[in-house]
Amino acid sequence: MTKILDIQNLTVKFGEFTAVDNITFSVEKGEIFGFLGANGAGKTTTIRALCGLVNISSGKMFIDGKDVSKNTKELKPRIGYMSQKFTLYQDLTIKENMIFSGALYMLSEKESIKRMKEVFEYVNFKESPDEMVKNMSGGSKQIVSLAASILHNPEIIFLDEPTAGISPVSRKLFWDLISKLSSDGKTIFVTTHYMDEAEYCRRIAFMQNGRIVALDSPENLKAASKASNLEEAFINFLDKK
Amino acid sequence: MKETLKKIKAVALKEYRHIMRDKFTLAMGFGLPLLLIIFFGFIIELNYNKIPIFVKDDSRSAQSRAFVQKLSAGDLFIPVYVSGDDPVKYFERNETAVIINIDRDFGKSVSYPEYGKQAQIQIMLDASDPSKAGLVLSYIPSIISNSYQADQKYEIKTRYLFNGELNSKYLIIPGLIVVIIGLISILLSSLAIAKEWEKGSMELLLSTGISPAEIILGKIFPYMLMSLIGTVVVFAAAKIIFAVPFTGSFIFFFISCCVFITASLGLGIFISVIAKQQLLAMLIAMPVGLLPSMLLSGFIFPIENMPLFFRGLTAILPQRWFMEICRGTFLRSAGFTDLMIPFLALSAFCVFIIVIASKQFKTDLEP
Amino acid sequence: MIRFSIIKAFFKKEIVQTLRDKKMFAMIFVAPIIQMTLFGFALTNEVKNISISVIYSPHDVLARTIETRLLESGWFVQGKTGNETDHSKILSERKAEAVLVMPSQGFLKEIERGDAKIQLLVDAVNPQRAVQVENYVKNIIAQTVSQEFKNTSSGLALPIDLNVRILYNPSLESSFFMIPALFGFILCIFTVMLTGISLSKEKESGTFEKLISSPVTVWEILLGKTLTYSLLGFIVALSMVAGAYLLFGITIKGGLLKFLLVCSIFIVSSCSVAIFISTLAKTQQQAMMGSLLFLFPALLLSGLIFPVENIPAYAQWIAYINPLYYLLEALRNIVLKGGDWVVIAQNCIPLALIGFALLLFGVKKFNSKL
Repeated sequence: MTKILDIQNLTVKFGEFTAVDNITFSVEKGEIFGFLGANGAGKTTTIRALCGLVNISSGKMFIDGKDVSKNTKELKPRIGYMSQKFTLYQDLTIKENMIFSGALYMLSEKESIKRMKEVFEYVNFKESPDEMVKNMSGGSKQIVSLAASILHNPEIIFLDEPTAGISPVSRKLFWDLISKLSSDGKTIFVTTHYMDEAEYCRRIAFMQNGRIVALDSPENLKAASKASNLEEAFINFLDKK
Repeated sequence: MKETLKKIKAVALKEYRHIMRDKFTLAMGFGLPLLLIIFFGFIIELNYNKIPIFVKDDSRSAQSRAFVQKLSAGDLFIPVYVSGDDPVKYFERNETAVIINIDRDFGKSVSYPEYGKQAQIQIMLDASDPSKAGLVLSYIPSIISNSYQADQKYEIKTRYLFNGELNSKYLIIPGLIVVIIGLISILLSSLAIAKEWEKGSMELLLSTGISPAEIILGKIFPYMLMSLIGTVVVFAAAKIIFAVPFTGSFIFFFISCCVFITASLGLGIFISVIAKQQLLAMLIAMPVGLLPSMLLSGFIFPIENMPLFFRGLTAILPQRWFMEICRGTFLRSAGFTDLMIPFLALSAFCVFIIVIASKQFKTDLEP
Repeated sequence: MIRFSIIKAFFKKEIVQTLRDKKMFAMIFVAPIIQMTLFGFALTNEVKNISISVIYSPHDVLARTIETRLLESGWFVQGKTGNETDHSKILSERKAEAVLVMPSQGFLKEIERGDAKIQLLVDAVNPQRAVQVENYVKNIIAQTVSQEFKNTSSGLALPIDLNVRILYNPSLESSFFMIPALFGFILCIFTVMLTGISLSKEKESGTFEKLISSPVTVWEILLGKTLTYSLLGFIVALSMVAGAYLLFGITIKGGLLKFLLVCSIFIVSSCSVAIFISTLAKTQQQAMMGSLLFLFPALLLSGLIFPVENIPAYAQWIAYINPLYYLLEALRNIVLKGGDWVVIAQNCIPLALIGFALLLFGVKKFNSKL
């Protein structure tokens, strides 16, 4: 397996506050890598740092062997990022949003629409492309949002709490899509606080106060802390610290 | 009745605490009026001075020089001698707005009027700014008649009433008071109800069985207090910094102030009842509060100059009526009897807008 | 690096967003029309419509002639009189703005006796206006007297004949002065307010994160935004040019080309203002406040409402850093006088400098990080 993401001693400070505190880990190509932790544990900041959206204080980040801080421009087309905030335009239709998102990655209108149809077919998404985004349900919004992030066929996809606040049925649908993407060879980096979702990941990292307190496959983590489920494992690890 | 007063008091007290804790609102209530009146009080100046006049003197006589000398008396005009064949060039390049051509025979004709040949002076006027053109058109002939007509035979004595010193600040400052108080009151209150809607606390308020009128009145009182303090600040600035005399009835001025503030707050609340969002409330409050009070209140552009339709339109503006009252009480020694119409109009608007706001509020609540 | 296809995508998106929002649509297309009629028809601060009451004895023919001349001059309208002996009451009750009290014995008779005394009372709340009223009254009296004593050696005939030639706006219509300035003002509101708000809207909602995570550059974002609103501003300005012609008969003497040239230089400056504001504002509300904090003084100190040359010398520099001031100077010259290149250069160079300085600063501050 090749390391597609390699993070060494990453630290991000906002003034006096240390959001990410000297973390080191790597992600392999094609795996689903999960980040778990409470709000403010530093998950979002790590993702934003990897996407080149915040200035890092120290450490190194490599995507496919290339230094992120130096090759931001070159790497951006190779990653897809779905923010925790809703990043589609509410006053545009699904199609209009897709065309615009595609254009940001130099896709033509035709290509964007073709890709949109592919993705929607993939997950059996039924809404009309001419529907206004503001009129859609929370679950549909997240699907469309993900679709917009992968239009340009990125190798690595960063998903920041993609399933927060949507119904269990939609969450299931959403994770089906993620699994499919992974089986197509995409690397998925996802944060969540749903423990049941973490089971879909090949490996997960528990984060607390900017640090990684544990990193392994779900089975190993459960075994190591002698817990019957991930939630228990998580609590056990936090207690140790 | 007692119940109602109690409810109004509760809303007022709550709002008062909000205000005291919100630095932005506090700054807007007290700091902004002072800042505005000082800044604009010093800067707005409607009086022209040192208007350059280009003079092409073909006569080159003692008489023509004497004439040009007379133009420069006072600070209004600065004559500049030019020669050149294409005077229009000066206009095109915005170098001057007035060119005076003095005829070759000027000296002779002025010295020997009994020959019956009048001396010729041509004035070329760039009238792209009509008010400047009007000024020049009024001044130059009067300089001529003052200087060349045997005026000892008749004498015009002018008395300037209400502003004997001809101080233009006396015109601007009372007007600015109206603009500033109106603007602040409308802005403050237009955000007040929109904020409750946006944050969802309105539903809580309404679930207690409090009536729209009670909410509106309760909201008005604390802001009224704030606007009144703002008024005192502005008033003090007018007296101390700009030394504008106050000649009318103070009590009447104060009562009118209260009515005007209530009317403006009412207008602001009406806006926020319609808008229900702070951003939209601000978007509406700006053109409704700012533009009319600057442009249609008679502050800078006289109402009597407007066509009938617009003159009628100004009648629905509280700023217009308070402008009359403000200038009247400051400068014209006016009291209630002189300013009855503006006062009644203002009061009528005040009652009207509060009733409308409450009504609109009520219809919003019914599904 | 600026890629055209990205600018185009921004342009399409912004246009759809703007035109789909009904309130926005109204603001864009209805507000200019209202402003134009308002500025064109209602707002003039020339001295006219002065209500005057002339008081004279019934047999005084010369005084009556003077009254007639006053009212025929176009500056005056008939004021009301009362039967008070205290004429200042006419003013304090606002029955008239000026009262002219002619000699009780008959004006002509008293002139011939050599001691005619006329009293003029003027409401001086607006001092400039008061002095101008006084001048108009004096001029009309002087001319009437001069004509009465024509060809006499009384010294009352005026020795000078004034021949007035009025250029560019012979009917002294203030709409000619206001409308060109209004083009500029509307353009300014469009570019500053709409660009500023739409930039901060992206920041406030999460969409900005999406933009900067994709491989677009800051220049592409800014250009994509500003081009759209500039173009909308242009369209509105052009439709106002048409409206100005239809409503007020105003044509652009210097031609559309000069007009558009100056406008485009201005647009760069005012977009820089918008970018500058949105680098400071985090929310739409702050952007709105920021644009108002710019627009209010910019409007007041642009020469639209009162001439900049009247501002006290110590404060004039504020006008000289105001892009709107230069725009109005240039536009008025182009529309009314044909646009002398010297004037265009005089105004466009500072305009471009202001724009350039702000743009550099704004782009530098406009972070592509969060």
